[in-house]
Amino acid sequence: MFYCLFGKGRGGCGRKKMRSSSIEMRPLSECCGCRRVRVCKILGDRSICGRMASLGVLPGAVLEPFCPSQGRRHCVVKVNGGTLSLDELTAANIFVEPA
Amino acid sequence: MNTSIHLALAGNPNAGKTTLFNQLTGARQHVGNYPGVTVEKKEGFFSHKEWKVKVVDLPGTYSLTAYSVEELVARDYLVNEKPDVVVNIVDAVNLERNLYLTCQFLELGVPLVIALNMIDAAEKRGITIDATELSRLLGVPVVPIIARTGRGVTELLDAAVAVSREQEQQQALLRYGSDIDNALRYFIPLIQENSLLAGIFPPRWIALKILENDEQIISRIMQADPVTGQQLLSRSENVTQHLRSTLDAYPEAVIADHRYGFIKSILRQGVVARAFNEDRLYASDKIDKVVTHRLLGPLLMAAILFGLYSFTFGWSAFLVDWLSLLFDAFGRVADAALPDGPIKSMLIAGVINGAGGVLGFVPIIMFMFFGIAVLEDSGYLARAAFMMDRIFHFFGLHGSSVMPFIVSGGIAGGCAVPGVFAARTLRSPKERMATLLTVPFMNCGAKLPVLTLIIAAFFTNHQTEYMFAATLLTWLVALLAAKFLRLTVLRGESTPFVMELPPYRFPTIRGLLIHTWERTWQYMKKAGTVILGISILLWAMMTYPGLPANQAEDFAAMRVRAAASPEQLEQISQQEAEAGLRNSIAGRIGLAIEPLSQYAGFDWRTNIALLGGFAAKEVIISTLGTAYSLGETDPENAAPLKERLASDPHWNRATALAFLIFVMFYAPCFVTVVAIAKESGSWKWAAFSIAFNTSVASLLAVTIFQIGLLLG
Repeated sequence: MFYCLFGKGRGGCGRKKMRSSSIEMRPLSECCGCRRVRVCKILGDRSICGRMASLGVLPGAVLEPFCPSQGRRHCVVKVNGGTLSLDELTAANIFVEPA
Repeated sequence: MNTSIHLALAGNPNAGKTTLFNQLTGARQHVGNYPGVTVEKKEGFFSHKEWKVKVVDLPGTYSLTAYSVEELVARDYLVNEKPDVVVNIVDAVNLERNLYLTCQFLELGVPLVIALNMIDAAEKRGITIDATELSRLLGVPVVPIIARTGRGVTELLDAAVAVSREQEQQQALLRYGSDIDNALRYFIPLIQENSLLAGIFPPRWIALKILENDEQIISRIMQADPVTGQQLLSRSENVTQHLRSTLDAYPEAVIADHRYGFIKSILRQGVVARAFNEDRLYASDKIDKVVTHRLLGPLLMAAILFGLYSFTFGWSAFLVDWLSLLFDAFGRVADAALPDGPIKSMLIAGVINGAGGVLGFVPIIMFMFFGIAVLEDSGYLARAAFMMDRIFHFFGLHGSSVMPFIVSGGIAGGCAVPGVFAARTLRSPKERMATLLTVPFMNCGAKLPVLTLIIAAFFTNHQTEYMFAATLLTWLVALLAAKFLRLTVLRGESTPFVMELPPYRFPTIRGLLIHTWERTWQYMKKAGTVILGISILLWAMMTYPGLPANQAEDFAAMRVRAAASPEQLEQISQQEAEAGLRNSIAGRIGLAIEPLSQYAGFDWRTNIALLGGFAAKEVIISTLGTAYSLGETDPENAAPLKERLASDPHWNRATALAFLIFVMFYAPCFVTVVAIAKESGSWKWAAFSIAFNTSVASLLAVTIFQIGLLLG
């Protein structure tokens, strides 16, 4: 059987490259105080991007920063019902905008 | 009719696979490794109605792409072993993330049953899941269960048996957008025509993995048919370039996006209903606000570790005493039943004192493992890793290094051998190598009895404090050593840390007991086999060749002359025993290195024990016991080793402290050295670890002893 799925309704900012340049993107590491953010773009090694994608952190995904330490550059984000901890380097490579 | 079934449990980490595995198999399980790798393999057997079921607990994975060793192992097992049925354990609370792996099982076409676990926890969060509708939409059976209590497990097994009997498995075909789908339409006929990896993976699945840049699949294809492989890679590169230029994303991100889109589309078709707002903070999040707080978190972690020590050493004390009495009784029975001679000496000094000295510490190890299992199963260890990550990065390691460190004895009681193997999860070669070389500094379970003995003998009133300080010191030395290595021989960039934090859960007593027993049994097996053999070998090294004939005659003559004085006779026997030991093979080695070791306060007997410790750290105690028993007039009635050391003129607090430090940091045991050689792929690094660790230990021990001498 074939499933029809196009991630409709997700409306990721990374979906159209031209759009990402016109919005205010910030690294996730600077958004610990934000309530909800949408991933615009992920920089870095291809295998890391692939691994992040398999964990649900991919352009268009909505993340909920949850930083218990308030200001720590290591981020904890809630995504797809799970909780991920990311180090500063990873968080700095994930560019987001307010969701 | 064949009544046996081969069942594999698969799912995300923390989805409850092991809880279900324990529920199904109880104590009827075997723990080993997958061939060629060191990922733990758990197998068990049980009966369900008329069926005999072999069950395998696969490592927890998020996907079936080669991003980690666990993912490779799980995938290889499914395609090579071809289990009759795969039970995919899905966390009902975290359905969306967990179904991502399910999608890949469906695409791989394995015979699948979904176990919707922790349905009670989902209900508490106001999440209602329509399992029937989910089953209809996915095309596979979905059975709600609670693995902790066993609710729904019978129904799950019924469904698994039914699926395992089906002949044909349908492969699910997801759509990935025009770019990927067009590429797939080009790839699939090419793969089919050239029979690439035919009979192992479905052609569409292979095509997807090429687009996802799966290194293992690409390598296998290039080996099987380089020409076709190059054609496929070339087209894959075109697709990648196109997606990078239009969507600024790699194909794997687009594929993952569509898989998540598919999952969302399913869940929105009346499968999931929520009573509460999704933004609500749950208990786990509220706990995390405190537990991982920048200031409170580390304080709490130190308190938890200290509590673990108090629990381990305080609560196990009565069992340690009982075991000590038991082995004393064995010694007395052997003494009364056997005639004097080498067999009796070997049995008492080599076997009973040697193995008893090690097995006597089983209660401590057991309590320690129980405490670690509580932290692990409750979800706290993942938080500890998260909090330690910043520190690890500072020292040039990776957050994932925390687990090898903890397994090796970061919370004292582990073992460096699995710790070395656990470092395989690290992707960066230099961080991995730094981890491999520094985990043996941790206080493994084998060092614990030595530390406990020396601390109990010389620092009686502050045992817990000294043990705690020893743990902190191992961390400090290991991290400084890592930093040194990363600035010198292993200079290079750090790699990122990404880890899922599981929700806090109450561990099950059954799970805790099984984990504790597994690890304790492994320790006991080691003590009962390798250590016993080494203990006997060392007894022989300390007994033979014995005194030369002329010296033995001199002692016999002295004994005749002193026949009237029991005190003199005792003195002569002590001198004879000591002379015999000095003349033994081990004594000669110990004496040869004494001119150097004396700067750390170690005499030849201590040197013998430390040499034995290279074979296995547990042997240090049994060697010390044997060495000092042989030096006594009446070995069978010797005072306990602790009191013997405390009263020995060669030992004082400075010697004890230097000895403690040396034992903590010197060369790893030979099993660990072999593991390092295997994991690093070179004996050069194994030799380096012996030389580096012994140099660090010698430097510290000499410094401490000399300062101790100066302070009087």
